Amino acid sequence: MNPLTYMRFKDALKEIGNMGSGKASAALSRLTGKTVMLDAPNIHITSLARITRYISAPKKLIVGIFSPVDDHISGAMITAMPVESAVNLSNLVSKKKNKVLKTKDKETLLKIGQLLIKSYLQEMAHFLKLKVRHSRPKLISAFGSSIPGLMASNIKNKEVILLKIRFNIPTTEIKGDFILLLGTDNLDNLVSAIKDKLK
Amino acid sequence: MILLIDDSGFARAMIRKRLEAAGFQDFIEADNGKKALRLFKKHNPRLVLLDIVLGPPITGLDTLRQIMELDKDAKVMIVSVMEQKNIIARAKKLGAVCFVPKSGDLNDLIKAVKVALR
Amino acid sequence: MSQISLVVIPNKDYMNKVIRISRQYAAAYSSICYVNMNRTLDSLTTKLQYANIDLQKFMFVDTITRPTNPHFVELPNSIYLDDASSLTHLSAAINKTLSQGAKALIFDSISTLFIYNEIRHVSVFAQNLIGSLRKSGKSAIFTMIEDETKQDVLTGLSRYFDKVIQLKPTPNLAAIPVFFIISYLAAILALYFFDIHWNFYPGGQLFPPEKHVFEDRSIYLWGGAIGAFIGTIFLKII
Repeated sequence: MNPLTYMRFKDALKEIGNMGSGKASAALSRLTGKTVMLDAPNIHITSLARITRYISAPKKLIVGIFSPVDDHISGAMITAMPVESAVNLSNLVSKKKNKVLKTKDKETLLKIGQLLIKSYLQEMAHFLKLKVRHSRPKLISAFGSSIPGLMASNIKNKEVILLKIRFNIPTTEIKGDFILLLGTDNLDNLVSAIKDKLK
Repeated sequence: MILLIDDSGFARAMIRKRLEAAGFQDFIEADNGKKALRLFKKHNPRLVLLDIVLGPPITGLDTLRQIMELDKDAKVMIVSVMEQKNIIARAKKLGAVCFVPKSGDLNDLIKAVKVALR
Repeated sequence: MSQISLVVIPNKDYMNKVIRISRQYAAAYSSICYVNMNRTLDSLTTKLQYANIDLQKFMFVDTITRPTNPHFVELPNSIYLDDASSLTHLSAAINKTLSQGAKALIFDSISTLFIYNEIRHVSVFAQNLIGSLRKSGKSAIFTMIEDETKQDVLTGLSRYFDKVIQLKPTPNLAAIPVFFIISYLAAILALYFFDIHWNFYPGGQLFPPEKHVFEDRSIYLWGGAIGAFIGTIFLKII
């Protein structure tokens, strides 16, 4: 890819990330009844070994709703939040005041995660006219800095496309990241889908 | 003349192509709010398509507010991925004529532009 | 003799300290049960191998690999759980590994349990596990992540342990020479500008500077050194 095409490709991916997270944030907003703010997306096409520096997850415990992604594009997606954000989100949606994530809260978070991941990927798939499937999400807890490792285990390539968008719900102390990691074996499919949009 | 305001070149190109294919022509483009306001003052376009998620220096909502201050009869249509009710409501309160999601095949956008320019 | 400790580790240094603990245990015991709750097992074992720690000595109880990687390859003598929330499943897996010959336990980390369980439930879990470790004369280290640790939780749990160790972050000494050089250059530059500043006024000649404040140029040497010293401390603090 020459530099100009590369920049355009990144710009297009950014917009596609915006569309996915726009849908996901609208779904989250409907669920919580609050405005969800999104930061500008971060896009990186880099080697698997270097994604840690771009994901920059905190060195603290996080809760994530994780799902491998496959079909026309393959990789993994996670909605990751600090533990207190996950508890606050579950409490906000289920109108509770729990301090830990009990079985019901885990189910609530999984449903939220399912909705967010589905909204994000469906929008992306619909827009690009690609088939994208995701497995049933799993709720995980991990040290923030290990997110790259656990996402990378679903990628076969050494080169990856990383799309990260930060969200927050003002006044609720809920914040987190939508992170989509794809192998560069998806590049051809993505590039041709993007080109089709400009025909 | 239609003013397209979007910080993504890809999004501007895609919207423009779709609208051109539907028979619309004469576009001007801005990738930020400041440039958009300058172009608006200079050309006074018949319709503005504005993405509400706009990078610095001026946010999408601020750009909308300033356009409406320049011309209270300006036709500004929000074309955005931000589909949250309260954000759309805020944009409408500031004077946006309608909201069209920036997704899928943009057929809704073409219909809305036809109505707005009728 | 069994020694059971709780180690509170600073977030910043967490992985390094855990590796150090693992190295010490690998040197002292022939077989160790490692409860891994914070990263994929693949990532942990890579780090252990990189630190030249004999993996053969470890039997893992893992709560994170199965949900995140459907195609993972199981390590021998390891138990993979679906999630980290069930204390019952965790307890059963640990007991099974201990009964298979593990001589010691590394529990990484007890902080993770507090995401899903109330303090009293974690206390009961810890009390039971520690009881069975003592009965069988096995040593153990339970880790806690400093920023996730509330003082009342620590106080409540500490009574079950022989020792509670609060680790301090390892200072990053590698940065000091860099800070020193940057500060030294900045100090020299500041001194030089002060030295020639009269030349900026009307009538002054800048190239080459005509007037100098310092007659004795050795000030650059000791002034630079003092500046570098102060600058290094300043940079280290921020």
